[in-house]
Amino acid sequence: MAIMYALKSSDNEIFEVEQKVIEQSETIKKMIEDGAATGEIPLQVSSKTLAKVLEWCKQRQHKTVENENDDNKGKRKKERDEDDDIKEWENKFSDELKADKDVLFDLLLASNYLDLPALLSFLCQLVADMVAGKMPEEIRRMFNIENDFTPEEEKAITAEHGWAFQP
Amino acid sequence: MKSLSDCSDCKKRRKFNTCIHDEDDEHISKLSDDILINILSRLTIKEAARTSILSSRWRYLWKSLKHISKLSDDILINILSRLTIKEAARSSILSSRWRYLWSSFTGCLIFDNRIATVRYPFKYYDVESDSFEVKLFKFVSWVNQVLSSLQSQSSIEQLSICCDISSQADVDNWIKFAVDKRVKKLELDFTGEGRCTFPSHDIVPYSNFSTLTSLSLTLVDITGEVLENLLFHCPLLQVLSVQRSLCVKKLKVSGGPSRDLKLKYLKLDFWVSQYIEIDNAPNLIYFEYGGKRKIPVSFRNVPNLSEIPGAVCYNIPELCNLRHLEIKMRIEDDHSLLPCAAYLKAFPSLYKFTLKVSWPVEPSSGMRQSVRNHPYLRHSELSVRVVELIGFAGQTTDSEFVIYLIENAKLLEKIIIDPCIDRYLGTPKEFIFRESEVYQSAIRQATHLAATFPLWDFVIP
Repeated sequence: MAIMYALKSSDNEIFEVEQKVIEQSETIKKMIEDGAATGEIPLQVSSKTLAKVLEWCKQRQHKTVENENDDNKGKRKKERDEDDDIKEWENKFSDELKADKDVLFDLLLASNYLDLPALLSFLCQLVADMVAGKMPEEIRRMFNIENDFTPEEEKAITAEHGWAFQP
Repeated sequence: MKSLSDCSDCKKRRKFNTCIHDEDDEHISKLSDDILINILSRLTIKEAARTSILSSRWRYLWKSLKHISKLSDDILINILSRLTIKEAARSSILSSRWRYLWSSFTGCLIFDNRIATVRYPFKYYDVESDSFEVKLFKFVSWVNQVLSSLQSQSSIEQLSICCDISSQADVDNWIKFAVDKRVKKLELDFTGEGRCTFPSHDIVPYSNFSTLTSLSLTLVDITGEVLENLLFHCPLLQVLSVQRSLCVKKLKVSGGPSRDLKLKYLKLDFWVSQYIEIDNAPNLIYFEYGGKRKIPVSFRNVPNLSEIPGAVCYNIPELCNLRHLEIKMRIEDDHSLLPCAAYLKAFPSLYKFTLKVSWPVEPSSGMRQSVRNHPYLRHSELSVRVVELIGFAGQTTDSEFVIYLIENAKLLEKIIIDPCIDRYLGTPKEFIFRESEVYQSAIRQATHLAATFPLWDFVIP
């Protein structure tokens, strides 16, 4: 029987999760090791975000378990198919996040707080890909960044790093 | 670009403000906080903040918005470091918070000016643009400006600089920068007319270079001593490629007595005049030596080495688990089969050996003599039990090779000989070839061999 843990979101929702899934989070793993995790583990993460975090962790867990069970026969082909499946899953996952930036940034904060390096890296890359090739004005609009520079200041900054603003 | 008043968000806000100020605002207060936050998230942060004045319920609602500004500097720097340095620097104009964030960039710095600073063979190629020297000067000062604007304490993933070289002082500074920034991947390609030297440990101490995992140098002169010094100070180095350096006398690639090298990929494309020694590199998979002159390369403790392109080396690393070896080769002269014998010696568990040969020239003789006299192959005991020779021509060379195997492989039981040329097998040419005089003569030779050694099981078609 798999050991289950109960995670409590900041809005008091309980999530029952297998130990293996949730141990990907270094923060929770440490809490479990320190014995601080008896009963419910309270987390500073909203239920909506936590659900997404667990979605990610389960997908990753699934992948590692499958690889362990494989024998060498036909592994290559299977790996290729799996890679395709994961790609597809990741694309769907990132499309959802791109559409809802609140969840995206919440998830980024949660991945940092829960110490999930793979998720953090995946999300940072996702945001970086969204930013790449865009003009400052587009980036401000996309991420609600308030331009608090005066036109003079803006000019001075552009002049200082002229090389960055050339096409 | 749309003006502010045209912005769809603002239209929404106007509508929405009217809505709130409506005397009967029952319908909006019925909505849950979640929905209100959802609505607010569609506004700019400035406009969302303005709703705090609407009523006590609205006072802190907007603060639940998770905009990019809620992310910590660490996360933002992580994001910026995945962009090019140019795009990262461009973020300085987004807002005052972003002003200096990019200077903590930790990603890949890639400066490639090969196209702009190639010296054109035609002098009047482009009279309008800057001369080669001006372009190079501009490029180098840009590189130096970027490097100096980065925070001193941050580390850098990769530094790649590719241009014609301007001065040794710049090169020393760039390498010093790479050491200071604990760079993981360093690539310098100074294709051009100038020459420069990789600074020695005295000029730029490598003691901080322990993070380096990949080093690639093209047209950077480096001495054997400096290379050995680098290998000593960079224990994590996995990839080392040195191309078109000046001559090195000898080179010892070694982890030292107590330490194994992490090195996986080693490419040396320059002239080593005496020898190369590779010792204690258990992770080495790939070794390429592209020097024009063949020199002795000796290997010790390289159990994973599996690719040695282009090299004919007689001292082959021992691969303990190999059971079946197949070699395809063209026999050019009497000595062509020597490497085969050397390979056989290197694999102590080899069970079956398949050799597919083709003969562009008619070889003479002396094979057995040269195998016997070769310093690496004398008194060797081979483990092989089954030998298969495809393309056997019955010449002195291959006949003598079979005799060499019989003499040195005590466990040899079965010798399969087929004079048919490998590439004809399974094609219509196979039948034609099997009728030819060349084939028949090879069969006669094989049968003769079989008669000479009746204790061995010969299989001849």
